[in-house]
Amino acid sequence: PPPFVPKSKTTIVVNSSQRVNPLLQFIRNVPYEYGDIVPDFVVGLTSCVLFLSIRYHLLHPEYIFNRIAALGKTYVLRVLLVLVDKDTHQQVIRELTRVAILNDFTIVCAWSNEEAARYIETYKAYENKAPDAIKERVDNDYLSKLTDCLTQIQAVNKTDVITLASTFGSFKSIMNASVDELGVLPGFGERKVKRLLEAFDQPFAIDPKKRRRRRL
Amino acid sequence: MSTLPLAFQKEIVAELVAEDALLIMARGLGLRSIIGAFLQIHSQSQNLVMLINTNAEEEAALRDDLLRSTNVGQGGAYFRTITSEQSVTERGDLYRYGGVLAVTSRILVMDLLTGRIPVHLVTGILVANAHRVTATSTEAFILRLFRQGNSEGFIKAFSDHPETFSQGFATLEKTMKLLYLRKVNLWPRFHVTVAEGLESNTANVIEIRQPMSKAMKTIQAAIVDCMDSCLQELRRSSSAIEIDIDDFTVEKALFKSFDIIIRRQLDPIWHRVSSKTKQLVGDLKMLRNLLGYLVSYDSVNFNLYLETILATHNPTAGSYWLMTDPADKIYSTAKSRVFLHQAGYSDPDNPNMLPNMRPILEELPKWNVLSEIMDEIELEMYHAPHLEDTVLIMVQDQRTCAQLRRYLSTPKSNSSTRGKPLMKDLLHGYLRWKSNMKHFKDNVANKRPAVPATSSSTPGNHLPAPTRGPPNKRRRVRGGGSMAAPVSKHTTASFDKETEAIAAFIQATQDDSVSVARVNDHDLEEIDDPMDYFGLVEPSSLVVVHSYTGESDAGLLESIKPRFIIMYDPDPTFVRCIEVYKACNPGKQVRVYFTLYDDSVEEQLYLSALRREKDAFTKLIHDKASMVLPIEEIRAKQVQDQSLLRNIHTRIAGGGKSGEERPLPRIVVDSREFRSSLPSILHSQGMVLDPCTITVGDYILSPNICVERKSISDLISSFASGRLYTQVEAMTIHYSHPVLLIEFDQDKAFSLQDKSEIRPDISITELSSKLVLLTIAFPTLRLIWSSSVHATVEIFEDLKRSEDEPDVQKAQSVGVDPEQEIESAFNLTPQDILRSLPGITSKNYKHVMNNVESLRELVNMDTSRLAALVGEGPAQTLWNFLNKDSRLDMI
Repeated sequence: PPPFVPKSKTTIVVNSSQRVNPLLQFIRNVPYEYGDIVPDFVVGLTSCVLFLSIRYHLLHPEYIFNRIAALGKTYVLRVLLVLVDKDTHQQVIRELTRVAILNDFTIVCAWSNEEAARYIETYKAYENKAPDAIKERVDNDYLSKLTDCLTQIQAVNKTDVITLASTFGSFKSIMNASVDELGVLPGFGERKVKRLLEAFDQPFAIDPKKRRRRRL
Repeated sequence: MSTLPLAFQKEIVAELVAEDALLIMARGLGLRSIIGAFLQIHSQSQNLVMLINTNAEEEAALRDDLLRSTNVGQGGAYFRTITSEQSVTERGDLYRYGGVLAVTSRILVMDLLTGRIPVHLVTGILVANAHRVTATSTEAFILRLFRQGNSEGFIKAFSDHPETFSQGFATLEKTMKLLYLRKVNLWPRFHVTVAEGLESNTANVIEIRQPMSKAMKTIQAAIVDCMDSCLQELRRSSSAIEIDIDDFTVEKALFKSFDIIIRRQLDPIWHRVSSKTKQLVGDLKMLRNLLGYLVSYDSVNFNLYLETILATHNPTAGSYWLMTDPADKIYSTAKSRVFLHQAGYSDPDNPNMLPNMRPILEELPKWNVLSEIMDEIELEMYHAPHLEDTVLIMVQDQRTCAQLRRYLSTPKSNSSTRGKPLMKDLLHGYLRWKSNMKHFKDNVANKRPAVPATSSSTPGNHLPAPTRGPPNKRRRVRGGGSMAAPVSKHTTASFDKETEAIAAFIQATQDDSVSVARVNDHDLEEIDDPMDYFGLVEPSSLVVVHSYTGESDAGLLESIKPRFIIMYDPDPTFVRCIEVYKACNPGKQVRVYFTLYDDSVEEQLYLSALRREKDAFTKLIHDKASMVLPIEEIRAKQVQDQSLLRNIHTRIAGGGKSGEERPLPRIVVDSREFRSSLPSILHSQGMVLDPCTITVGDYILSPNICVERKSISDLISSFASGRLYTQVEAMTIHYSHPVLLIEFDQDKAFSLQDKSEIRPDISITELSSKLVLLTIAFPTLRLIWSSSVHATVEIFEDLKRSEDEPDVQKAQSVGVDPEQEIESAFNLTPQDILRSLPGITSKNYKHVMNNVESLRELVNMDTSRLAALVGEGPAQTLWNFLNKDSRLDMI
């Protein structure tokens, strides 16, 4: 059969068999239309979603295998959206994980229809979004950058960052502050000072041989 | 054993030498010297004894003790420390050399797994801090590996935290099983032998109860009120999630252990807890700290700290308690201890003082008590001089040490108290800080975007304003009444205005006031002699101020041999140390002054710490009586488990007749993963682990399957830092089946997001959105959703079934630059800080770490050297960030 062509590029295509699926009522941010497709949802040019509720799977264990077989090798991103609606999920998820890896599916678990709907929406909405938001972050304003840096050290919180910045000024001066200078700051106990200095002075490389060689 | 002076200590050692056991004793009775005695017994070349679960400080202290008690050059040679610093060959040599080895648990596990340690030759294992051993801890894994390869060696465990064993269900019994021990030796303070030993010769104790000042009482009450309202909020907001709110009482919230209780309940569902609840938990901790600071900080610094909290406060999504009336009281009272606004007032002593500001400078009441005690002691020394007239003042921390040294070094004069010059200095410091703060805020804080860009805060969970109506408005009406009243508005606006006035004043009188301040600073430096700051005490010095360090205090008493001891802050452990010291030196005259704020939280904490320990021991004695631990059964069960597992394997694998035909499945595990519990459980389920350092992935299941494991909190943070993207990218390049394992906590709900937490619109800040982006970017990435570590193990078994075994060498070489050494690992915290610096990217951070020693070296480099490292542009960005003074207008 000829591939189904949706009316618009921005709609989610829903398999007609999903008409009664209660999650549809929660798809609100992205328009959807029904169409004659093999997967349950088409959420992008090359991505599709198969939906499976654990409760249903326990009653009809063969269902999902038939659906996977029907899909063949089509689509690049193949999501198996699992609705965890039963407490005895461990064995099912274990089995589905194996099936998914054998058949090139990416499992996504949701614990409510709202959440499942949100995943479907998001896949469509982010279809062409660059992954910048999850790549290493680029510049921000100074204070949040500074906070980000210093709170990497355990026990240092935002208040401490302000205390440090307002007392010493620059990152460099903070790092070059002495034990005594740090120790008298309000909110700085011995442990915190120790952690701070440890982070500043600890060599990057653990292997001592490597360090020694570099210094030569 | 001759070094143990007291009868009960000898008995403890004898009892433990005779039979393997878990020793639990009261704090302060000398647990370290007991462990020291075992080190002495075993530090000989014919032994190979492992000491596990100690930290570097404990090891150093034990080594000192050992060196002191044995002949020169003998003891130290057979007590060595092994950490990741030593190379594999060095470690092998040390194991062959023998003696007692204090080994980092992570290293020991790997050496046991790879057979670098001849496990059958190990004489025994000493487990320190046994209260920290849990079913999933590395120490339990070590002991299991040890017992599997060696059934003869001894295991002796030590702890001085009875409270830990008495909490929870059958904690003692469970820990004993993990330790492969069946006997527990309990030595509470009320043990007959201990009591006899200590009470025959007691010190002369004078207890002084000092009431707090009126202002302090007010603040204390207000802080407790704030804690109460936070707890009420917490109870209200957490009714949706299933946590035990019985634990949420102010009494419990006063203790540090409250944090543990609350985190234990919230941790597994931390990702689902609303940001409001998180904020409340953080606030409670902050308030509890404030209670402590109230009695330990001077009034100026206490107020300064409060102002810093306010400066951090974000009006839209800030702390709940700051908007309550008691908070108002805290702020106004704390300020009234420092100065009052009084129109037309000018300081007669100091014309440089800010106009309209009348310094109050309340001193801590205990200072005066201390001063009086010192006078009394001085008088006594004058009338009855001794050879060793040392006075030892014990305080809770270094800060109080410094504070008291300054206080005591100020000579007494008729015109003012000892504390007055000190307080004036502090006030100057405060004013300078205020002016710095203004510049800082002008330059940095106010330029922040409206929405805080920090990753942790989730928009959409803004704190709803208290239902009682806008508090700011109300406060303004009330505060507007009288001019002389303390500034009761702690709103950010009034704070800013005041800061501005002070900044302007400092600016105007800059030359003058700065020079005055400089002079003061200089004076202080001279007083703070570095020698006594670090507690290196000359024998001639008469007054020693020292902070509590737990067990080491016993050594301090022995070396100083003070005639007078002033316990400025209460500490139950130190009381025991004094008792032990007195019992060891029966002829010595010792007088102890014990000062305590009357009716204070400090007092309450001290008393209940004693009570809790006693209750814990009582419960443990009861538990011990009713506990049944047949050790044979434990071992039998182990073997059974293993064989059962192998049978199951063969059955699923399809008809193999015996388990021997199929070799045990192997997994290559990154050595960093040994901090988590998964390797331990994989091993207990019959997997063979190959520990090594791998660059790409955490677990290599087969030549094709590479797994990166993330707990929920790791997942959130590594999404935020962008590290996850880089990790998945690397896995995708090198393996055909890259897998991201999302591992939930076993004890709690298996879900990522609560239904109520789903926002009406799609937002990139949500975890689900990030997961979607990741899977779109890497369509070949497979996800494993595991509800617990045990579920992970099962899934791993499944995945390995049809795959070939992984190759260790290959796994190690993946993703490593040819010129880069395989065995090079980096320290995590400095690495994380480096990676969050502007100008540093995933492309250049490794290069930096390979060519720069530490962050300190990096920070002090000039632009040309930085440019040589990372290139012109990034170097400039980095240099600007590092050198930008947030208080100045430059750059």
